[in-house]
Amino acid sequence: MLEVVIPDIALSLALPEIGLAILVCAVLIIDLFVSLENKSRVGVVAFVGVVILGLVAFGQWGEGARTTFSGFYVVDNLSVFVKVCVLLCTAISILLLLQYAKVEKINYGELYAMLLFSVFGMLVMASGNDLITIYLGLETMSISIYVLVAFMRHDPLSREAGLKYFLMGAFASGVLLYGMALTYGFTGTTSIRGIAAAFSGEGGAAIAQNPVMIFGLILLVAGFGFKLALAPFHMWLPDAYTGAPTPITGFMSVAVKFATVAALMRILFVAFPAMADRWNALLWALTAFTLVWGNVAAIAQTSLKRMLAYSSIGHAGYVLMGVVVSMTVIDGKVTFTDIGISAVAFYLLAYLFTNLGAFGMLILVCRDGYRGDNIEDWKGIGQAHPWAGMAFVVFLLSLGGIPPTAGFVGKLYLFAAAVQTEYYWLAAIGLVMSAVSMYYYGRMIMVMYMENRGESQEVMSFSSAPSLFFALVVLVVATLLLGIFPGSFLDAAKGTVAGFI
Amino acid sequence: MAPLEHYLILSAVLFSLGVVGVVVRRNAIVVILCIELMMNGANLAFVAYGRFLDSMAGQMIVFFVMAVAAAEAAIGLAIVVLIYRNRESTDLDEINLLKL
Amino acid sequence: MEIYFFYMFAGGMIITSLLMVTRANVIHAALLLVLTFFFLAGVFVLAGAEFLAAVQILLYAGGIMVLYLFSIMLMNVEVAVRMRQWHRQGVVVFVAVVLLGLQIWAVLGEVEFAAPKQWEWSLGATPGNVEAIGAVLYTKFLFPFEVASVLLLAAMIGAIVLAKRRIER
Repeated sequence: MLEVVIPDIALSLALPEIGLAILVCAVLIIDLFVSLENKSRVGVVAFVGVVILGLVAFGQWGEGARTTFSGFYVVDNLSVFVKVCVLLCTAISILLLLQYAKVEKINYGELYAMLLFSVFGMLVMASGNDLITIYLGLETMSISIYVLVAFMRHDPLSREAGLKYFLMGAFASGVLLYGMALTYGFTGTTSIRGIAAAFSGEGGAAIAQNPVMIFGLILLVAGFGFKLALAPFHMWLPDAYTGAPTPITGFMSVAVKFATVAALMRILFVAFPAMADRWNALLWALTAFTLVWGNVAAIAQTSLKRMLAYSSIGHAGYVLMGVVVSMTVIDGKVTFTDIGISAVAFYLLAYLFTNLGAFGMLILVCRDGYRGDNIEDWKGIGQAHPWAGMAFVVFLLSLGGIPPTAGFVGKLYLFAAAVQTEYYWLAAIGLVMSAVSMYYYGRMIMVMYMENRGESQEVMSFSSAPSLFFALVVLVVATLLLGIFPGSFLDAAKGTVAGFI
Repeated sequence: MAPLEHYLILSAVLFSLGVVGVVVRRNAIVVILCIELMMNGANLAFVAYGRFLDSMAGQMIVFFVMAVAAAEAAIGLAIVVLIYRNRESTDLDEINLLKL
Repeated sequence: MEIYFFYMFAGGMIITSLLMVTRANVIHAALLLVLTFFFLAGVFVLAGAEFLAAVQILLYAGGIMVLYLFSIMLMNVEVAVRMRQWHRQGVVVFVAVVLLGLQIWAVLGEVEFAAPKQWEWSLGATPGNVEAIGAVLYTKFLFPFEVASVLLLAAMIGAIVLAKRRIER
């Protein structure tokens, strides 16, 4: 008989995931007892649950890295940061979703359940200390989001977006899996620390030079690149973002980036520092390509949602820039700078409020049979609805990186990190592309304020749902707060580095 | 016992056949079948490496990957059925409402 | 002796998967994939993973592929056969990816791998595959196991939500 060894498991470390699983079951059961008109109550239950879980996750901050479940699960500052931000994004998205789901007739309890399932996947990815954990979390997140994108079953755009996203996403998962197989073969383990140990042990240098291992690394980076929509793997993103329900688009654009970038950083920084020169060069090229393509393609768009989708691609480029500049070589040894990692964390936080706000404005104008997607329809809104116009201006300025908004501080910190670590070319590309992006954000502001309402223009009415109003107020305040008083948030971003490397 | 290279070459062939299928075929269901083929290529690589490294992790990963493949197949087919019901077509080139 | 079985299974697998990628009829492609999975299960047995081979046949060939065949039968297959099956740039892409495959082949041939530890197949000396899996699945691999269960629940609910004809209350 084999010896069965029962390991020591610290269940309290996994409390956010366990709580989330219980919350999903509660949401599904409550859904059974609620009639169709009152389905928003299910959403409210989900909202309350997510806020409580966010506080629980926050309580895990600051105690150093702890692993459990035989090394498959790790809790450190980076994972806590990502979890809190993802849960915050979920809470705001549920608020944005409550009214939209009623208008678009997708107000089912399963909508909130699938949203929570994707959050479960993201939490697992943030805490993954092993390739298997990261892969399973990635798949849970992806599958739930495929369903969410196609959720408006009566809308042909939504169905098509779901199919395209599914095909590209499943293909990317297959590529990623084969990269993991090759990594497992050469290093003998899938644990992140174990892979690092294999590279630094005897024969490690030979493994790092092996062409098949390099091919495996390329496959890993390509798989994650598909998920993050880095150019040239971004083809699915404009279609998926445009066809999906708008609150889901907002949620996807922020939360998926948080979880995927955290998992990518963990794999590249902790498991593959031995091959850092290779993946850094690859990511450099991808980042430059993404920045250029995302920003240039957004110029030609006449649909607001599609323009925001391409702008999301551009912002993914900025986040990756932070990842690239984190790697420096000091005295011949690869080190990962604090300033780079905290730049990534802060930029993601600023991007959370900004992007959710931009999509929130789009949700504000949704009513029965009308989506407010055409940029031309926004002419003169600045005079007709002053408060909404001001809010949108704040979000657009933050997207472009103009003070005194969160986006400005994020980009400032990012470019400072790039210059300090001597990635001058990348910083230059980023700056030029930021200026280019100000063209299409600025054009939106001009359309709202400088142009008058045309004769044949659709009249846009703004929804007056309290949940939507509250969410947008919070987002505007947060965007301005991060821009004017970024101090404590910057410290939080710096704190994510501890225990991670 | 066949040497490891044989297993790896076999898994590489399966994987690349799957990639070719995904890129070239127009029928959505055949594309999903080719993705399954890709995942099986990776599974074979995991099992072979597990055998030669004397590690159980390879076989355990294959378990979880099979669960993931089942889940993905279910969702993918649900989406394809949803589209087919409304358009009577599973041809990927005809599904192009979103392209501007 | 074993090596001949390996070549037989490998050859069968390559032929059926090649046929599968090229068939115009979707049902033929699905059935050929089932055959590929059977050969793959044979290779798993040769690699010492008998339980996994059984799970492959039960789950993949018997579960997932039956799901595919049911779904295909929900749609009109004849119409699909008459349509064009390949993208217009098909030939170029095909050649490019085949070249890629050959490159992988060539590179793999150069790599040195250590010989595996020889297993003695005497009873009692080594644990069987089921026992070995059971010893680690619920102890060491507990967390991935639980995440996989949530994943399956999510897929179940998601598939029903998408494909159900009418959601009544």
